Amino acid sequence: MFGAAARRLSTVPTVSSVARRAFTASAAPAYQPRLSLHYHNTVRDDLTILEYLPPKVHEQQQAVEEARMQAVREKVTGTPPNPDKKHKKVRQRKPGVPAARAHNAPYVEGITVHIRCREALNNKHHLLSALMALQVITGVRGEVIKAKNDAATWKLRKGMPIAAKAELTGDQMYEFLDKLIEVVLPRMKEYHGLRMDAGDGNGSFTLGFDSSAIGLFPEMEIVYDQFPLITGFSVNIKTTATRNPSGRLLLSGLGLPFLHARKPESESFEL
Amino acid sequence: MKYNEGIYGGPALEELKQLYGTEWHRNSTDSWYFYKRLGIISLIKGVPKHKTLSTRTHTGIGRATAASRGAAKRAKAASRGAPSHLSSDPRYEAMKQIMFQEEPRTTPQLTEEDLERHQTILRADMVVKMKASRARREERENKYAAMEAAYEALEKADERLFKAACVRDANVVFPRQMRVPTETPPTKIWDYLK
Repeated sequence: MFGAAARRLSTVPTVSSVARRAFTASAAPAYQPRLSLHYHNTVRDDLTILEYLPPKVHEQQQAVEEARMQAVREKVTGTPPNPDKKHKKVRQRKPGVPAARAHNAPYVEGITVHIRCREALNNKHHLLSALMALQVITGVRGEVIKAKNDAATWKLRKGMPIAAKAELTGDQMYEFLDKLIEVVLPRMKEYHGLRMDAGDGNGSFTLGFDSSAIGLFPEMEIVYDQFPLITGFSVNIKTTATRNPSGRLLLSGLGLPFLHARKPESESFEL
Repeated sequence: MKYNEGIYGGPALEELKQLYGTEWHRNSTDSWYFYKRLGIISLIKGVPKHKTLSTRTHTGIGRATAASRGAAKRAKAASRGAPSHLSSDPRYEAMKQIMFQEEPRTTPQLTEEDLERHQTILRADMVVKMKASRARREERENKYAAMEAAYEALEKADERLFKAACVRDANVVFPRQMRVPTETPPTKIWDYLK
């Protein structure tokens, strides 16, 4: 009998003391980046409301847009087309804009930070500066990019490592964007915002920075002197917006400043 | 830490443990390790770690220290004569060591009981997030339905105003005054000059 009780007692798991735990069980809310919280609490609902259009009206507008694009494609130019000039790239037809529903508001999908290092042509070690810089500002290990084509004017051969990039998603992406908006952009000289024609038409926005901007990151300020080569970088923000205006609306909601246009509100309609 | 120099390794290790202990659940980046290791490397090599952080008048232009200027000069001189891949800034050696030669961090090994607790906590966290997400989704659907009803009512009430409501301007952005919330208010609550 005592043996059985003793055996039962021995199988009861011992509660580990708080000091020796490998985790915290307190009721503190889980960490979420500030911009992510703001997007989910405020911006997403606002975008759903602002982008709402009755489905019939949306279809009509799409038809008008399609007709306009067709007219542009079929436009008769002044001179006949030159058969000698082969146009390698034909402008791709942009995918149609889906109607704004309750669940398809645009969001920021990913950010790519890219450093092009032409000095790496002469000295391969300079690419280390680019990789380390990416690691310092984004917190992510950068990836080396090798040249895809030859370029004799710059003594570039196919396969030479020439650039570095870091792709960010999720929490890291929001944190990088937060640093950019709150710390780097305000410190830049004579920068007041993105232009109103920013965007590639498919929901991607690119910001280019020169070497003076990389030193403005708080992490970079500390180790600035340890970099033999200070480079500029470019930031490509990928969103799920299908056109520029909705992408701009999304980014302005997250805090990116825009220079306001001087054009009148709407030229097509007046109350 | 790879370095065997005891006196330099000691305090930095403690700092690192403290950092690791308090902030492991945060997004700890390699930049902290770089920073801490560079402190030690700089001590060993006799190069000053960093300048005192004064107010920056020239944004982005670092003032070269005597040692780094000397190193850069040596590197440049060597590159003129010798092949470029041989002349390497000593700082690149440090970078190579940091990026490619340090051992990756291992995840802590949990006991069976602790693992179960950990998984339970993760599961509970997921449930909380799911509930919050569903609540927001319901709110969003209600708002969408309200917009639909409003547009239908407007269409019946006034055709002209309905057409005006369907016009979308391409230059609409959120106002700059709509700042992203912070835990504490900003030092400048309202910019009256904007």
